[in-house]
Amino acid sequence: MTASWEGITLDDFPCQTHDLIRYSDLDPVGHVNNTAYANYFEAGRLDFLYDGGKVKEHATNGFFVLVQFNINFRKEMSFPGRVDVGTGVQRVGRTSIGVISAIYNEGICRAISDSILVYMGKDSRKSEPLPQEALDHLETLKVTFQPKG
Amino acid sequence: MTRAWEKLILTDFPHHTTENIRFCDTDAVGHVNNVSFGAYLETGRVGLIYDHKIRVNFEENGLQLVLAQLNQGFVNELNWPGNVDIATGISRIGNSSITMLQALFKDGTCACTAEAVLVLMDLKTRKSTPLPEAVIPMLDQLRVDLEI
Repeated sequence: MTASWEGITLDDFPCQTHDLIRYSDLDPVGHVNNTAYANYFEAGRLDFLYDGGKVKEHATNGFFVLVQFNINFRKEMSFPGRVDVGTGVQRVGRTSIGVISAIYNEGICRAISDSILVYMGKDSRKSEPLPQEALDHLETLKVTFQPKG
Repeated sequence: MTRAWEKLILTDFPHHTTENIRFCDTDAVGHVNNVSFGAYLETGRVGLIYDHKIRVNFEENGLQLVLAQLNQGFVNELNWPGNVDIATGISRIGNSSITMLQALFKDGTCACTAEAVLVLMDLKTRKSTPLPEAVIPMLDQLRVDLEI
């Protein structure tokens, strides 16, 4: 996830979310702690599922649960500041989706993430096929770039 | 040796620590949120370094391990209340970085496996720097011989 990420900006993501770096996000090393990055990525995913991406409107019988979450930390961040999170779909499967996200701060990419979300039935608590209308909607939220690695 | 996550046990790893699952670690789905898994894993990594003389060497030399890559596989839900056991070991010792293998358990059941790449940073330059020779034998003692 290095060379092929150069040139990719926030505008390349179909869903864009903004968050604030909190003082409590810092650790004794003086930079934003890794768990705060996970919070920003989650804010991006939730915005993608609800307000911004409206995926949940097309998939009302279940939850999206995170089963795999990989983060590549590229640059440190400090307080005060804001973060911009870009989120998009990389892969649409039968019962799961591959999501790709990036965190930007002062226009610089600070971290990249790829994750797998499984669609879990509200009652069954097991993976279930995504409704057709959700599959169609997810296609509109795909990223057009193909980062390698 | 390669091992399926279902077969993992705490004692496969050289370093163990325990955290109490807090009510505020849970989310609207009713289970422990993914960000809390990240915090438990961090407790394990920090514990491994702080419980050994490695920390003294790093502090004396103005060095700090920072996380460069974290891959988490969520294999089971965790629920409140209870304790989570955090298992950590070193799977690779590089020139200026190390890789740790980790797992979270509740009541003996594995809930998460993770791989973390940590880079040694010089606190003055904020750039990567080679591992001091003196810490290599200490790190070697904390090896985990597993592939998950």
